[in-house]
Amino acid sequence: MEALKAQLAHLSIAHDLVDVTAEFRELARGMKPESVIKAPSFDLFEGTHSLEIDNVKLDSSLLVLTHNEEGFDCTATHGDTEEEKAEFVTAVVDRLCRSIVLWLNEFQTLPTTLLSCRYVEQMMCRFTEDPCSDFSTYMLETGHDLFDQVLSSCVIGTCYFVKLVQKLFRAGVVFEEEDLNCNTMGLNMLSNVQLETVVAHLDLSQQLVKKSYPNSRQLALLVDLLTQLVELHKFLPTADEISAPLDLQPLHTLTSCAEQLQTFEINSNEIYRGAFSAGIQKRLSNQFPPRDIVSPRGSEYKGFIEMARDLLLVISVEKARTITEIAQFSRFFNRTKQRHVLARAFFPLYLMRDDQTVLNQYTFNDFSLLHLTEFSFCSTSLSKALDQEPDESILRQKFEDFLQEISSILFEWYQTTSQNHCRYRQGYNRQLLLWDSLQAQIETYELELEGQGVRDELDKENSFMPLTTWVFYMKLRAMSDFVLKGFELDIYKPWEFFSMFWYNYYLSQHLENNLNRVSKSLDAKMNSISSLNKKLKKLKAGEKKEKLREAYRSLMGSEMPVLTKAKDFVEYSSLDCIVMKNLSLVEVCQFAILKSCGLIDSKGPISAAFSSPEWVHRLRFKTFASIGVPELPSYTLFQQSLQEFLIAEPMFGSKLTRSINFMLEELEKVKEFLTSIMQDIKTEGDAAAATQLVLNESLDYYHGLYRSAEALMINARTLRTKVGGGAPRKELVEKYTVEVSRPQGGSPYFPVLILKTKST
Amino acid sequence: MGITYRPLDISNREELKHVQRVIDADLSEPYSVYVYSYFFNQWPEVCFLAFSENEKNPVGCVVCKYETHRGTRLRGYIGMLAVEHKFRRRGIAKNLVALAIEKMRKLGCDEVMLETEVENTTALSLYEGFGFIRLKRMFRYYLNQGDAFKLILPLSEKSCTRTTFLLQPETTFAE
Repeated sequence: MEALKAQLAHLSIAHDLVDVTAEFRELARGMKPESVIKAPSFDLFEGTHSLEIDNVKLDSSLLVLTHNEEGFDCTATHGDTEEEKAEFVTAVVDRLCRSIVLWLNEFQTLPTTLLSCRYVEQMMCRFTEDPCSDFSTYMLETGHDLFDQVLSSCVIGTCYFVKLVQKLFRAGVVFEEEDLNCNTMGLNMLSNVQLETVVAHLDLSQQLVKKSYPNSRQLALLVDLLTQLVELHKFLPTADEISAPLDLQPLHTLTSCAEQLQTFEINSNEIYRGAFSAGIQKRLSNQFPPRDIVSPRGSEYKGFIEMARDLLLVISVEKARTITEIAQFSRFFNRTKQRHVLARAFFPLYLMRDDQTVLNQYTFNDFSLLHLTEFSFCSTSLSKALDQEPDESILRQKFEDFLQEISSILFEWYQTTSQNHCRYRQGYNRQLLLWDSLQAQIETYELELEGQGVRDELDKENSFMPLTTWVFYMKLRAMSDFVLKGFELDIYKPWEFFSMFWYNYYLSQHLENNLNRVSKSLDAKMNSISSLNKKLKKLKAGEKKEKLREAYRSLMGSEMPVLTKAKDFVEYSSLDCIVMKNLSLVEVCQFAILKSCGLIDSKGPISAAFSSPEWVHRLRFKTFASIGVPELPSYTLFQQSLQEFLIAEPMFGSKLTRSINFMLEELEKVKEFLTSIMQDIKTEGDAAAATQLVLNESLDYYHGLYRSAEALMINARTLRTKVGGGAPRKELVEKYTVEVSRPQGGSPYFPVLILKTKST
Repeated sequence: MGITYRPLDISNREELKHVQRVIDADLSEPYSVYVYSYFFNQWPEVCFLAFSENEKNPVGCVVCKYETHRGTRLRGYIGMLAVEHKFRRRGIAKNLVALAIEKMRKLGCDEVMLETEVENTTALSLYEGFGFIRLKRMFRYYLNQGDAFKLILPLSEKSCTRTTFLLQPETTFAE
């Protein structure tokens, strides 16, 4: 208690405290011993964030500061000569800039990076007490321009950038603590200060540095870099400028500054001893355990280059000419490499805007409609029927309702694609029920329409149902992505590989069938339009012929280009689908060979006392158990399928050879298809894959799959050598162990099960 | 050296403090006294301690709880597991976990859940040996910036059904 009293006295916060001892004792009298006092909403998660007085791990008031930290003076200049003063200010600003990267790129907290700067703490404390928009109350007052003007404006620029990040963060796209820590310790980050004021102040500093300190090139570059960061405020989706094309110059200049700053060596901490300290965690209201401040390592400016590159990438989505290009952009931009947190936060806000438009070009409903049109809906009976319907008709109203529902799921879909790699998979998990429910409703709607004669025939027995077909396509993609992302995140143990790859094979088969149906429907529609030309040639000149000619021209101008593009995209998607299907099948075969040799089992080390292989299997597939179509195969069917892939005596050797040859043939096909996809992507002009805006990202993705196919081929041949020699199972089990290998440059979705010789 | 196991004695304050010390020395997350009380006071029956015959204080412990999850199933949770350094590699952690799971199963838990660091291969191997599977990965879950896996062991059929489909209509309405 004495120690606590001493601490409180030291903190000099007596004027903020109210004596509640009497009330506390009174309330405590009513408490039951041994009980935990908490609000019903206060759960364990909240509890793990609780702090504890006098616990060194949890009480930041116990932090011990060095003499330099205790004595650091923000009101004085530092450095004896002008040169030393410039060196000091440059070192502090350099560390501030590096701290921005540590905060954002390295996922550190504000108190351990930017807020650890004494100048930031002092100026923002003063601003928080008296938030004056013209800087008059919180500038440094040392009597020296380098500090009062240049260092002050750099601190302001830094904090103004924090304000930008705070605003992006509040939009709720990325997650507190996992993607970004925006804990400003209650400090007001220039909430009422205008962008122009900050930029003008930084400009003044830049002029001063160039005029009075011409040798301080590094400082000039740092001021320039901070100015560009501040200018990024114009990118915020709530700003008026969002409807106008964004001025990308700040990002290019930021890159250029960072490239030049990379050439300077990192300054020694000795120059500014005490200027960066954990002291703020001790002095201000701190809801977190004490943490060491984070020191730069030297490569921070590369982080700015990455940030600018990723922001430029997401902004390039505005160049998309079709919805398919936007969809493909979102599929690839954050897939092989997790993009910078600001780019990820910015993407969905930039794409789907507060003014209820997509890229300021489409309403949400138009956006949804174009997804359908560019895939399966163009030139269908329903699209033609809707053209004839008045706006108020029930048919149209119901269709519009569906478009709204589609919009809300697409909203989630596009947000998911910019999440961190763990949330990406969880996002699909949440969406599956939405897609499934929509499919059931939309199928009923289309069946009703068929009853009214609005029907597209696929063949004599089957109708096409363009809306259901698209929803099913989206759902299958989400399901497959959910399964495969599990491999990327190391969710599955090797014993689960068979069931997960077999299930993905099953999903891919459904997707391939669905795409074939779309392809067939598109062919029929294109043939139907082309056949008008033949009819025209047969008709004699006259009104009827002219009408037909007009109809033909109109369809060739409006629908044929959409159908052609859709057909190209569906063909590309089919190849993409077959690649995933075949790779999954090869993984299944690989597992079956290892199991046939007794080297792996499809049942994990499950304790019979507590659980069962079937429960564990069903828990793994719980996400899919409620999906209507495609129905989840039963546990028994999974087991039966595995049995069908296993190789047994007699003639084990020749069966093994046949299985390995089959794998090699399938992998050759995969490589062939991937080569074809990559050639298409590299084609100048319109690629069928619609990946012009994410050319490198999509190529990286397909190169990864190609590399995985090669690795699986090598492994298949190695397996033939290692297990095909007729060695008894017992010997193989004694000699080898199965390990997961992730080939360098390979796709994370297709790890390879390799045989490692056991160490003796 | 024989190891014995028994549930936590909530009335023995010294023992509680020692358990806290054993855990504090080991886990990456610093927990406040509140977190310990949260577990110990509410679910002492699923907190187990390991004792070595020549030691006065416990040499290992597992700290758990169980609660209804989303109004549908009873979920057990392993919050902390620690064994003193010099007593490791003797199967103490495994025995503690087995005792805890068995107790939670008897109490009617449908599943047992926990989180562990992706890099903690020893813990993963221990839990996966019981049949726990990795349900999801959580980005930068711990204070030390590490990702975590959420692991679940199903103890009943209920664990294998999506919550939405376990809810009775009136429960759905009430929620």
